Amino acid sequence: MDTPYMNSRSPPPLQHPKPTHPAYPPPEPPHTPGRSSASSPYSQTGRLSMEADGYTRYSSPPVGVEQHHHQQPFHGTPQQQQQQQQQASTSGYAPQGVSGQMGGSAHARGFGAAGPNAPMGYDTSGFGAWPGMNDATAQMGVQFGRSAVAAGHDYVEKNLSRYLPLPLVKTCFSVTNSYVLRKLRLVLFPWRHKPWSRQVRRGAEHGGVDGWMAPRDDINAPDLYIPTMALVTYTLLAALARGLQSRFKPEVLGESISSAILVVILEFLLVKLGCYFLDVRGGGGASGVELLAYGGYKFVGIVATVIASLLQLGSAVQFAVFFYTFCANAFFLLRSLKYVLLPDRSSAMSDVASAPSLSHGQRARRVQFLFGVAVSQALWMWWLSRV
Amino acid sequence: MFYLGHIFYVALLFTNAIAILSEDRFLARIGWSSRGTPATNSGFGNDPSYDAAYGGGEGVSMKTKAINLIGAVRTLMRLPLIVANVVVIFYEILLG
Repeated sequence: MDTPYMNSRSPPPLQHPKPTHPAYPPPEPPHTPGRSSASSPYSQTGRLSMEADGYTRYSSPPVGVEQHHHQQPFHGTPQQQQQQQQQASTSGYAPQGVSGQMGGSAHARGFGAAGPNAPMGYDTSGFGAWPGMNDATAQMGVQFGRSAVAAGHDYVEKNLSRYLPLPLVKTCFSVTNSYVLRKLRLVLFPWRHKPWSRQVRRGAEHGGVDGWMAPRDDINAPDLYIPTMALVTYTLLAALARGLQSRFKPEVLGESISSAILVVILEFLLVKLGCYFLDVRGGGGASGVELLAYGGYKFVGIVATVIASLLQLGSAVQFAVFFYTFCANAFFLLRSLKYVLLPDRSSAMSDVASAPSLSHGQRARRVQFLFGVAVSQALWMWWLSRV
Repeated sequence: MFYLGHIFYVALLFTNAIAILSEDRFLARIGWSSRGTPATNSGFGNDPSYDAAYGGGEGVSMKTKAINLIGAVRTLMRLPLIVANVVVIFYEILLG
Protein backbone atom coordinates (compact mmCIF):
# COMPACT_ATOMS: atom_id res chain seq x y z
CA MET A 1 0.00 0.00 0.00
CA ASP A 2 2.75 2.35 0.80
CA THR A 3 5.48 0.71 -1.11
CA PRO A 4 4.04 1.32 -4.56
CA TYR A 5 3.61 4.89 -3.64
CA MET A 6 7.12 4.97 -2.40
CA ASN A 7 8.34 3.20 -5.48
CA SER A 8 6.59 5.62 -7.68
CA ARG A 9 8.18 8.35 -5.70
CA SER A 10 11.65 6.99 -5.46
CA PRO A 11 12.55 7.42 -9.15
CA PRO A 12 11.50 11.04 -9.15
CA PRO A 13 10.82 12.85 -12.38
CA LEU A 14 13.61 15.23 -11.64
CA GLN A 15 16.08 12.51 -12.37
CA HIS A 16 15.44 12.25 -16.05
CA PRO A 17 18.49 14.12 -17.30
CA LYS A 18 20.44 11.05 -16.39
CA PRO A 19 22.46 10.27 -19.51
CA THR A 20 23.47 13.84 -19.88
CA HIS A 21 25.77 13.52 -16.89
CA PRO A 22 28.11 10.71 -17.64
CA ALA A 23 30.82 12.49 -15.74
CA TYR A 24 29.51 11.22 -12.43
CA PRO A 25 30.93 7.84 -11.81
CA PRO A 26 28.64 5.04 -10.80
CA PRO A 27 28.61 4.52 -7.05
CA GLU A 28 31.36 2.45 -5.66
CA PRO A 29 30.50 -0.10 -3.04
CA PRO A 30 32.68 0.78 -0.12
CA HIS A 31 33.20 -2.75 1.05
CA THR A 32 33.42 -6.12 -0.55
CA PRO A 33 30.92 -8.90 0.18
CA GLY A 34 33.56 -10.63 2.23
CA ARG A 35 33.41 -7.80 4.71
CA SER A 36 29.68 -7.94 4.91
CA SER A 37 29.69 -8.59 8.62
CA ALA A 38 30.83 -5.05 9.14
CA SER A 39 28.21 -3.64 6.89
CA SER A 40 25.62 -3.10 9.54
CA PRO A 41 27.42 -0.45 11.56
CA TYR A 42 28.64 1.09 8.36
CA SER A 43 25.17 1.44 7.03
CA GLN A 44 24.07 2.81 10.31
CA THR A 45 26.62 5.54 10.10
CA GLY A 46 25.85 5.98 6.45
CA ARG A 47 22.21 6.34 7.28
CA LEU A 48 22.96 8.85 9.93
CA SER A 49 25.16 10.87 7.67
CA MET A 50 22.60 10.51 4.94
CA GLU A 51 20.21 12.51 7.00
CA ALA A 52 22.61 15.40 6.75
CA ASP A 53 23.29 15.15 3.05
CA GLY A 54 22.44 12.52 0.51
CA TYR A 55 25.93 11.68 -0.63
CA THR A 56 26.59 8.60 1.38
CA ARG A 57 23.59 6.95 -0.13
CA TYR A 58 25.93 5.78 -2.83
CA SER A 59 27.88 3.86 -0.33
CA SER A 60 25.26 1.17 -0.19
CA PRO A 61 26.61 -2.01 -1.74
CA PRO A 62 24.76 -4.31 -4.16
CA VAL A 63 25.00 -7.11 -1.65
CA GLY A 64 21.55 -6.66 -0.25
CA VAL A 65 20.87 -10.30 0.60
CA GLU A 66 23.58 -10.53 3.14
CA GLN A 67 22.76 -7.19 4.57
CA HIS A 68 19.22 -8.27 4.61
CA HIS A 69 20.18 -11.17 6.79
CA HIS A 70 22.23 -9.05 9.04
CA GLN A 71 19.81 -6.29 9.49
CA GLN A 72 16.70 -8.32 9.86
CA PRO A 73 16.44 -7.71 13.64
CA PHE A 74 16.60 -4.00 13.17
CA HIS A 75 13.29 -2.43 12.73
CA GLY A 76 12.84 -0.92 9.33
CA THR A 77 16.45 -1.05 8.39
CA PRO A 78 16.09 -3.51 5.46
CA GLN A 79 13.64 -1.18 3.96
CA GLN A 80 16.20 1.51 4.17
CA GLN A 81 18.80 -0.80 2.77
CA GLN A 82 16.84 -1.72 -0.27
CA GLN A 83 15.98 1.90 -0.56
CA GLN A 84 19.62 2.64 -0.73
CA GLN A 85 20.17 -0.07 -3.24
CA GLN A 86 17.38 1.13 -5.36
CA GLN A 87 18.77 4.58 -5.27
CA ALA A 88 22.17 3.27 -6.13
CA SER A 89 20.88 1.20 -9.00
CA THR A 90 18.44 3.65 -10.50
CA SER A 91 20.19 6.91 -9.99
CA GLY A 92 23.61 5.77 -10.90
CA TYR A 93 24.13 8.66 -13.26
CA ALA A 94 22.00 11.18 -11.52
CA PRO A 95 23.23 14.52 -10.35
CA GLN A 96 23.78 13.93 -6.72
CA GLY A 97 22.13 16.92 -5.22
CA VAL A 98 18.77 16.38 -6.79
CA SER A 99 18.57 12.67 -6.26
CA GLY A 100 19.90 13.10 -2.77
CA GLN A 101 17.07 15.35 -1.76
CA MET A 102 14.41 13.31 -3.41
CA GLY A 103 15.77 10.02 -2.17
CA GLY A 104 16.12 11.41 1.27
CA SER A 105 12.45 12.18 1.52
CA ALA A 106 11.57 8.80 0.06
CA HIS A 107 13.84 7.14 2.52
CA ALA A 108 12.24 8.90 5.43
CA ARG A 109 8.85 7.79 4.24
CA GLY A 110 9.91 4.19 3.86
CA PHE A 111 11.70 4.16 7.15
CA GLY A 112 8.64 4.95 9.12
CA ALA A 113 5.93 3.11 7.27
CA ALA A 114 7.11 -0.05 5.54
CA GLY A 115 8.99 -1.63 8.38
CA PRO A 116 7.16 -4.88 9.28
CA ASN A 117 6.64 -6.28 5.82
CA ALA A 118 10.20 -5.69 4.94
CA PRO A 119 10.86 -8.70 2.67
CA MET A 120 7.80 -8.03 0.59
CA GLY A 121 8.81 -4.45 0.34
CA TYR A 122 12.18 -5.54 -0.76
CA ASP A 123 10.79 -7.61 -3.58
CA THR A 124 8.36 -5.07 -4.84
CA SER A 125 10.91 -2.35 -4.72
CA GLY A 126 13.31 -4.58 -6.57
CA PHE A 127 10.75 -4.76 -9.31
CA GLY A 128 9.88 -1.18 -8.83
CA ALA A 129 13.31 -0.16 -9.95
CA TRP A 130 12.50 -1.35 -13.44
CA PRO A 131 9.42 0.76 -13.94
CA GLY A 132 11.54 3.57 -12.60
CA MET A 133 14.05 3.07 -15.32
CA ASN A 134 11.36 2.66 -17.93
CA ASP A 135 9.68 5.79 -16.77
CA ALA A 136 12.84 7.80 -17.03
CA THR A 137 13.74 6.40 -20.43
CA ALA A 138 10.18 6.82 -21.61
CA GLN A 139 10.24 10.44 -20.57
CA MET A 140 13.50 10.89 -22.31
CA GLY A 141 12.11 9.20 -25.40
CA VAL A 142 9.00 11.33 -25.33
CA GLN A 143 11.11 14.42 -25.01
CA PHE A 144 13.35 13.31 -27.83
CA GLY A 145 10.38 12.48 -30.00
CA ARG A 146 8.79 15.82 -29.26
CA SER A 147 11.94 17.67 -30.19
CA ALA A 148 12.25 15.58 -33.34
CA VAL A 149 8.68 16.33 -34.32
CA ALA A 150 9.26 20.01 -33.63
CA ALA A 151 12.39 19.98 -35.73
CA GLY A 152 10.55 18.24 -38.56
CA HIS A 153 7.74 20.74 -38.30
CA ASP A 154 10.18 23.61 -38.49
CA TYR A 155 11.88 21.98 -41.45
CA VAL A 156 8.60 21.60 -43.30
CA GLU A 157 7.58 25.14 -42.47
CA LYS A 158 10.87 26.54 -43.63
CA ASN A 159 10.95 24.60 -46.85
CA LEU A 160 7.33 25.27 -47.57
CA SER A 161 7.86 28.95 -47.07
CA ARG A 162 10.95 28.74 -49.21
CA TYR A 163 9.38 26.93 -52.12
CA LEU A 164 5.94 28.41 -51.84
CA PRO A 165 6.28 31.88 -50.41
CA LEU A 166 2.68 32.63 -49.69
CA PRO A 167 3.12 36.13 -48.25
CA LEU A 168 5.15 37.07 -51.30
CA VAL A 169 2.45 35.76 -53.61
CA LYS A 170 -0.14 37.69 -51.64
CA THR A 171 1.98 40.79 -51.94
CA CYS A 172 2.23 40.26 -55.67
CA PHE A 173 -1.54 40.24 -55.96
CA SER A 174 -2.19 43.38 -53.97
CA VAL A 175 -2.93 45.74 -56.82
CA THR A 176 -5.25 48.60 -57.42
CA ASN A 177 -7.06 49.77 -60.52
CA SER A 178 -4.76 52.68 -61.08
CA TYR A 179 -1.73 50.46 -60.68
CA VAL A 180 -3.02 48.01 -63.29
CA LEU A 181 -3.73 50.75 -65.77
CA ARG A 182 -0.40 52.42 -65.21
CA LYS A 183 1.44 49.14 -65.37
CA LEU A 184 -0.24 48.17 -68.63
CA ARG A 185 0.73 51.51 -70.07
CA LEU A 186 4.24 50.98 -68.77
CA VAL A 187 4.54 47.55 -70.37
CA LEU A 188 3.25 48.76 -73.69
CA PHE A 189 4.97 52.18 -73.70
CA PRO A 190 8.06 51.84 -71.56
CA TRP A 191 10.19 54.35 -73.42
CA ARG A 192 9.72 57.51 -71.43
CA HIS A 193 9.42 56.00 -68.00
CA LYS A 194 12.10 57.45 -65.79
CA PRO A 195 12.72 55.96 -62.36
CA TRP A 196 12.98 52.22 -62.79
CA SER A 197 14.27 51.41 -59.35
CA ARG A 198 11.94 49.78 -56.93
CA GLN A 199 11.22 51.34 -53.61
CA VAL A 200 12.02 49.57 -50.42
CA ARG A 201 9.76 49.31 -47.48
CA ARG A 202 11.28 50.59 -44.31
CA GLY A 203 10.68 48.94 -41.02
CA ALA A 204 8.54 50.96 -38.70
CA GLU A 205 10.62 50.86 -35.57
CA HIS A 206 14.25 50.80 -36.59
CA GLY A 207 14.21 52.11 -40.09
CA GLY A 208 15.81 49.01 -41.53
CA VAL A 209 15.08 47.60 -44.94
CA ASP A 210 12.04 45.40 -44.68
CA GLY A 211 11.56 44.20 -48.24
CA TRP A 212 10.07 45.78 -51.30
CA MET A 213 6.99 47.90 -51.49
CA ALA A 214 3.77 46.27 -52.56
CA PRO A 215 2.62 46.86 -56.15
CA ARG A 216 -0.20 49.11 -55.01
CA ASP A 217 2.36 51.60 -53.78
CA ASP A 218 5.10 51.19 -56.32
CA ILE A 219 4.68 51.20 -60.06
CA ASN A 220 7.95 49.38 -60.59
CA ALA A 221 7.12 46.45 -58.37
CA PRO A 222 6.21 43.27 -60.22
CA ASP A 223 2.77 41.87 -59.69
CA LEU A 224 1.14 38.62 -60.60
CA TYR A 225 -2.28 39.94 -61.39
CA ILE A 226 -1.50 41.23 -64.86
CA PRO A 227 0.41 38.09 -65.96
CA THR A 228 -2.35 35.81 -64.72
CA MET A 229 -5.10 37.78 -66.37
CA ALA A 230 -3.06 38.10 -69.55
CA LEU A 231 -2.49 34.35 -69.58
CA VAL A 232 -6.20 33.63 -69.26
CA THR A 233 -7.00 36.26 -71.84
CA TYR A 234 -4.48 34.76 -74.20
CA THR A 235 -6.05 31.34 -73.82
CA LEU A 236 -9.53 32.64 -74.53
CA LEU A 237 -8.34 34.74 -77.43
CA ALA A 238 -6.54 31.80 -78.97
CA ALA A 239 -9.72 29.78 -78.72
CA LEU A 240 -11.66 32.66 -80.24
CA ALA A 241 -9.23 32.92 -83.13
CA ARG A 242 -9.59 29.22 -83.78
CA GLY A 243 -13.33 29.59 -83.62
CA LEU A 244 -13.28 32.42 -86.13
CA GLN A 245 -11.34 30.16 -88.43
CA SER A 246 -13.98 27.50 -87.64
CA ARG A 247 -11.31 25.13 -86.42
CA PHE A 248 -12.38 25.19 -82.80
CA LYS A 249 -12.12 22.07 -80.72
CA PRO A 250 -12.31 21.98 -76.94
CA GLU A 251 -8.73 20.77 -76.88
CA VAL A 252 -7.60 24.16 -78.13
CA LEU A 253 -8.02 25.65 -74.67
CA GLY A 254 -5.82 23.06 -73.05
CA GLU A 255 -3.25 23.23 -75.80
CA SER A 256 -2.90 26.97 -75.72
CA ILE A 257 -2.69 27.25 -71.95
CA SER A 258 -0.27 24.35 -71.82
CA SER A 259 2.05 25.92 -74.32
CA ALA A 260 1.79 29.24 -72.49
CA ILE A 261 2.66 27.64 -69.18
CA LEU A 262 5.46 25.76 -70.87
CA VAL A 263 6.90 29.03 -72.08
CA VAL A 264 6.64 30.54 -68.62
CA ILE A 265 8.31 27.56 -66.98
CA LEU A 266 11.05 27.35 -69.58
CA GLU A 267 11.91 30.99 -69.28
CA PHE A 268 11.85 30.82 -65.53
CA LEU A 269 14.20 27.86 -65.59
CA LEU A 270 16.49 29.60 -68.03
CA VAL A 271 16.69 32.70 -65.89
CA LYS A 272 17.27 30.63 -62.77
CA LEU A 273 19.98 28.64 -64.52
CA GLY A 274 21.58 31.85 -65.71
CA CYS A 275 21.49 33.22 -62.20
CA TYR A 276 23.19 30.05 -61.01
CA PHE A 277 25.88 30.13 -63.65
CA LEU A 278 26.47 33.84 -63.34
CA ASP A 279 26.68 33.55 -59.59
CA VAL A 280 23.85 35.92 -58.83
CA ARG A 281 23.20 35.44 -55.17
CA GLY A 282 19.63 34.63 -54.32
CA GLY A 283 18.35 36.06 -57.55
CA GLY A 284 19.83 39.41 -56.59
CA GLY A 285 16.96 40.30 -54.35
CA ALA A 286 14.19 38.99 -56.55
CA SER A 287 12.51 35.76 -55.71
CA GLY A 288 11.16 33.16 -58.07
CA VAL A 289 7.71 34.63 -57.82
CA GLU A 290 8.93 37.94 -59.14
CA LEU A 291 10.84 36.23 -61.92
CA LEU A 292 7.63 34.49 -62.89
CA ALA A 293 5.88 37.83 -62.83
CA TYR A 294 8.48 39.40 -65.09
CA GLY A 295 8.22 36.47 -67.45
CA GLY A 296 4.47 36.81 -67.55
CA TYR A 297 4.35 40.39 -68.77
CA LYS A 298 5.04 39.21 -72.29
CA PHE A 299 1.47 37.99 -72.53
CA VAL A 300 0.29 41.56 -72.66
CA GLY A 301 2.16 42.01 -75.92
CA ILE A 302 1.01 38.61 -77.13
CA VAL A 303 -2.59 39.53 -76.45
CA ALA A 304 -2.13 42.77 -78.39
CA THR A 305 -0.66 40.84 -81.30
CA VAL A 306 -3.46 38.31 -81.27
CA ILE A 307 -6.04 41.06 -81.21
CA ALA A 308 -4.30 42.69 -84.17
CA SER A 309 -4.42 39.42 -86.03
CA LEU A 310 -8.09 39.03 -85.19
CA LEU A 311 -8.90 42.39 -86.66
CA GLN A 312 -7.80 41.22 -90.13
CA LEU A 313 -5.74 44.27 -90.84
CA GLY A 314 -3.22 42.47 -92.94
CA SER A 315 -0.03 40.70 -92.17
CA ALA A 316 2.09 43.85 -92.33
CA VAL A 317 0.14 45.52 -89.55
CA GLN A 318 0.16 42.31 -87.59
CA PHE A 319 3.92 42.03 -87.90
CA ALA A 320 4.34 45.68 -87.00
CA VAL A 321 2.28 45.19 -83.87
CA PHE A 322 4.27 42.11 -82.98
CA PHE A 323 7.56 43.88 -83.50
CA TYR A 324 6.53 46.87 -81.50
CA THR A 325 5.25 44.82 -78.58
CA PHE A 326 8.37 42.71 -78.67
CA CYS A 327 10.56 45.80 -78.52
CA ALA A 328 8.53 47.28 -75.72
CA ASN A 329 8.59 44.07 -73.71
CA ALA A 330 12.30 43.61 -74.27
CA PHE A 331 13.00 47.14 -73.15
CA PHE A 332 10.78 46.67 -70.13
CA LEU A 333 12.58 43.48 -69.21
CA LEU A 334 15.98 45.05 -69.73
CA ARG A 335 15.13 47.81 -67.36
CA SER A 336 13.31 45.68 -64.82
CA LEU A 337 15.65 42.72 -64.66
CA LYS A 338 18.60 45.01 -64.33
CA TYR A 339 18.23 45.21 -60.62
CA VAL A 340 18.04 41.43 -60.47
CA LEU A 341 21.20 40.74 -62.41
CA LEU A 342 23.18 43.88 -61.81
CA PRO A 343 22.64 44.95 -58.23
CA ASP A 344 25.81 46.98 -58.29
CA ARG A 345 24.42 50.44 -57.90
CA SER A 346 24.24 51.50 -54.33
CA SER A 347 20.56 51.00 -53.94
CA ALA A 348 18.78 51.14 -50.68
CA MET A 349 18.26 47.38 -50.75
CA SER A 350 21.60 46.73 -49.24
CA ASP A 351 22.55 43.54 -50.97
CA VAL A 352 26.15 44.06 -50.11
CA ALA A 353 26.97 40.38 -50.30
CA SER A 354 27.12 40.32 -54.06
CA ALA A 355 27.25 43.97 -54.95
CA PRO A 356 30.83 45.11 -54.43
CA SER A 357 32.76 42.19 -55.87
CA LEU A 358 31.55 42.38 -59.44
CA SER A 359 34.43 42.27 -61.83
CA HIS A 360 34.37 43.65 -65.31
CA GLY A 361 34.11 40.28 -67.03
CA GLN A 362 31.31 39.21 -64.74
CA ARG A 363 29.43 42.37 -65.38
CA ALA A 364 29.88 41.97 -69.12
CA ARG A 365 28.60 38.42 -68.95
CA ARG A 366 25.60 39.50 -66.96
CA VAL A 367 24.78 42.23 -69.41
CA GLN A 368 25.03 39.73 -72.24
CA PHE A 369 22.76 37.34 -70.43
CA LEU A 370 20.28 40.10 -69.75
CA PHE A 371 20.31 41.05 -73.39
CA GLY A 372 19.83 37.42 -74.36
CA VAL A 373 16.83 37.11 -72.09
CA ALA A 374 15.33 40.24 -73.59
CA VAL A 375 15.92 39.10 -77.17
CA SER A 376 14.58 35.62 -76.50
CA GLN A 377 11.22 37.23 -75.90
CA ALA A 378 10.89 37.41 -79.67
CA LEU A 379 11.04 33.63 -79.89
CA TRP A 380 8.44 33.04 -77.21
CA MET A 381 6.12 35.75 -78.38
CA TRP A 382 6.32 34.70 -81.99
CA TRP A 383 5.61 31.10 -81.11
CA LEU A 384 2.70 31.97 -78.87
CA SER A 385 1.12 34.60 -81.10
CA ARG A 386 0.70 32.19 -83.97
CA VAL A 387 -2.78 31.06 -83.11
CA MET B 1 0.61 20.39 -79.37
CA PHE B 2 1.61 20.38 -75.79
CA TYR B 3 -0.17 19.50 -72.66
CA LEU B 4 0.87 19.81 -69.09
CA GLY B 5 1.53 16.09 -68.89
CA HIS B 6 3.92 16.39 -71.77
CA ILE B 7 5.73 19.18 -69.97
CA PHE B 8 6.08 16.86 -67.02
CA TYR B 9 7.34 14.10 -69.28
CA VAL B 10 9.90 16.39 -70.85
CA ALA B 11 11.15 17.52 -67.47
CA LEU B 12 11.34 13.93 -66.26
CA LEU B 13 13.26 12.80 -69.33
CA PHE B 14 15.70 15.68 -69.06
CA THR B 15 16.32 14.95 -65.42
CA ASN B 16 16.82 11.31 -66.32
CA ALA B 17 19.29 12.35 -68.96
CA ILE B 18 21.29 14.35 -66.44
CA ALA B 19 21.15 11.65 -63.82
CA ILE B 20 22.16 8.88 -66.18
CA LEU B 21 25.49 10.44 -67.10
CA SER B 22 28.13 8.00 -66.08
CA GLU B 23 30.83 9.33 -63.86
CA ASP B 24 33.55 6.99 -64.96
CA ARG B 25 32.77 6.36 -68.56
CA PHE B 26 31.60 9.74 -69.77
CA LEU B 27 32.22 12.62 -67.41
CA ALA B 28 35.76 11.67 -66.53
CA ARG B 29 36.61 11.21 -70.18
CA ILE B 30 35.67 14.74 -71.15
CA GLY B 31 37.23 16.16 -68.05
CA TRP B 32 34.03 16.91 -66.19
CA SER B 33 34.54 14.55 -63.36
CA SER B 34 33.72 15.92 -59.97
CA ARG B 35 36.37 13.78 -58.31
CA GLY B 36 39.34 15.59 -59.67
CA THR B 37 38.20 18.97 -58.47
CA PRO B 38 39.24 19.56 -54.90
CA ALA B 39 36.51 22.06 -54.19
CA THR B 40 33.75 19.62 -54.97
CA ASN B 41 35.37 16.58 -53.45
CA SER B 42 35.88 18.03 -50.03
CA GLY B 43 32.81 16.52 -48.46
CA PHE B 44 31.01 18.41 -45.79
CA GLY B 45 32.95 21.55 -45.60
CA ASN B 46 36.12 20.39 -43.95
CA ASP B 47 38.17 21.76 -46.79
CA PRO B 48 38.95 25.44 -46.37
CA SER B 49 39.08 25.92 -50.11
CA TYR B 50 35.39 25.10 -50.15
CA ASP B 51 34.56 28.29 -48.35
CA ALA B 52 37.05 30.19 -50.40
CA ALA B 53 35.49 28.91 -53.58
CA TYR B 54 31.92 29.47 -52.56
CA GLY B 55 32.22 32.48 -50.37
CA GLY B 56 34.25 34.58 -52.74
CA GLY B 57 32.32 33.75 -55.83
CA GLU B 58 35.11 34.84 -58.11
CA GLY B 59 37.18 31.76 -58.51
CA VAL B 60 34.38 29.40 -59.51
CA SER B 61 34.20 28.96 -63.21
CA MET B 62 31.13 28.00 -65.14
CA LYS B 63 32.52 24.55 -65.73
CA THR B 64 32.86 23.95 -62.04
CA LYS B 65 29.32 25.15 -61.57
CA ALA B 66 28.05 22.83 -64.26
CA ILE B 67 29.92 19.94 -62.69
CA ASN B 68 28.42 20.81 -59.34
CA LEU B 69 24.97 21.01 -60.86
CA ILE B 70 25.28 17.61 -62.48
CA GLY B 71 26.59 16.11 -59.30
CA ALA B 72 23.80 17.68 -57.28
CA VAL B 73 21.15 16.40 -59.66
CA ARG B 74 22.67 12.94 -59.65
CA THR B 75 22.80 12.85 -55.89
CA LEU B 76 19.62 14.60 -54.96
CA MET B 77 17.22 13.42 -57.60
CA ARG B 78 18.02 9.74 -57.45
CA LEU B 79 15.20 8.61 -55.23
CA PRO B 80 12.51 10.94 -56.64
CA LEU B 81 13.51 9.89 -60.13
CA ILE B 82 13.11 6.24 -59.28
CA VAL B 83 9.67 6.87 -57.84
CA ALA B 84 8.55 9.11 -60.71
CA ASN B 85 9.84 6.74 -63.35
CA VAL B 86 8.08 3.77 -61.79
CA VAL B 87 4.83 5.71 -61.54
CA VAL B 88 5.04 6.93 -65.12
CA ILE B 89 5.93 3.47 -66.43
CA PHE B 90 2.97 1.88 -64.68
CA TYR B 91 0.71 4.68 -65.85
CA GLU B 92 1.80 4.24 -69.41
CA ILE B 93 1.45 0.47 -69.26
CA LEU B 94 -2.01 0.59 -67.76
CA LEU B 95 -3.55 3.59 -69.46
CA GLY B 96 -1.30 4.59 -72.28
